Amino acid sequence: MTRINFEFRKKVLEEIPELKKCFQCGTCVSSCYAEKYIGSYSPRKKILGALYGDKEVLSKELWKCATCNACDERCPQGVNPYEVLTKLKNIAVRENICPESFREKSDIIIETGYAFLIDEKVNNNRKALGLKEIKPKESLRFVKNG
Amino acid sequence: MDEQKAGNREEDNNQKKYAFFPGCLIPIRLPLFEKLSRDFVTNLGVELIDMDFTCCPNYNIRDRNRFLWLVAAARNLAIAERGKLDILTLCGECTQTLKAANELLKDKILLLKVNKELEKINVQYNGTVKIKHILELFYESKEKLTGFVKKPLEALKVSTHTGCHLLRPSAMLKFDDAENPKKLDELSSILGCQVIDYSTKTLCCGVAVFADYKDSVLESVKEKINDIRADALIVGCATCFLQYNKAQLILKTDLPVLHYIQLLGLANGFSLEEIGYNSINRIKNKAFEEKLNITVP
Repeated sequence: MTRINFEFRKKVLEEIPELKKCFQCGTCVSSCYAEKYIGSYSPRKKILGALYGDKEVLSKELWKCATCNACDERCPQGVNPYEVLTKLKNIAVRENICPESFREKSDIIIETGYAFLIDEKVNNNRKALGLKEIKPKESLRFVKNG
Repeated sequence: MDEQKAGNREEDNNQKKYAFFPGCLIPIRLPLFEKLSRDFVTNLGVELIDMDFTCCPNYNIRDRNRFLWLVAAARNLAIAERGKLDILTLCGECTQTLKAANELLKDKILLLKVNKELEKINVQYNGTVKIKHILELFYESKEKLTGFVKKPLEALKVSTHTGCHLLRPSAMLKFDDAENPKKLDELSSILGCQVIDYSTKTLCCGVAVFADYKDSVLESVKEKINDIRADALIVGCATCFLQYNKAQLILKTDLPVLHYIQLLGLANGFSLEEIGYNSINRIKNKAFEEKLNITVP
């Protein structure tokens, strides 16, 4: 029998109350790119795991999501599984559970305001087309917990 | 509802000025798309204003800290609002982020929390900005777009891939039918192309997980490419454009992938060289190139 971790369940439900709306129909699973092509990635099971307070749901596996949003599109209960999984990722990141490359990618945005680094070559290419030069922007660190 | 829609449309057509939101990927990696977009939009009689925007920000920030994502998106929206302008986007991801954030910020309590953060940099958002992707602008301006066609691409058969971040979730993005998108088809047929439908039209390009799950993603791209019976794949999203080029190089398949702005360029009389086919596109196909020179009587 599955044992419920009430402490973690309470914490997760405070942040993701919409979890309670899920009736485990599996529409998200049959719509899921990651489940079909990568495998072993069921949004339904992740939601059930979160409802059981199972800390195992916080794993690097969460980054199998291709962000296609098909689950949000089709969920008949308005649970918005993509959003739920994003919120689970937020909790995982706080617990330092995430792929290595992920922090780098988001650090660039926080520090430079752009998703990619801008070097001289970028601006040379732009100049050749008659486009304005671009420079890194102000840091996004003004937000607390950034 | 219909009346309201019609009202919106009229308002849209009267708008001649937008805050231009080119994003990160296009200005940095595909500046030619920015150049072509600026030129075509300007030729529609629309003025583009450059503003101090940051990354939209994309799903890497959303995955790390959803609140930071929302505040940074709200900062962009607030800057457009301060200039009393709506936003015109080029990129799928930017469109999804800004439209989704804008919907979420209809929650007044959340907006209050976000504005508390924005106070630190002396901006506030009041929720008045609308976001439009360049394909939406083209779709609204179909008649004018027809006027751009100097060389109808009548011998060309194309299939389209709009892109996940333009389509879903449709309740928030309101771009097209998410299960059976047709707008990019229509925009392609305006340029003279014959449009061929196919069953994996809404299948994701998989770019977000390509680095970590390469074989799985290649499998999905192969399925899509094999499903298409056309001379070229026309995409609405620049990220998908890069992904289908890159993945096919590994798969050794040869379906040319063009961004809609390139197709518009061809129909407007630009050469393959001028739309970046020789410099940006990595998949070349002789049969496709030859079809561009055939005029259907």
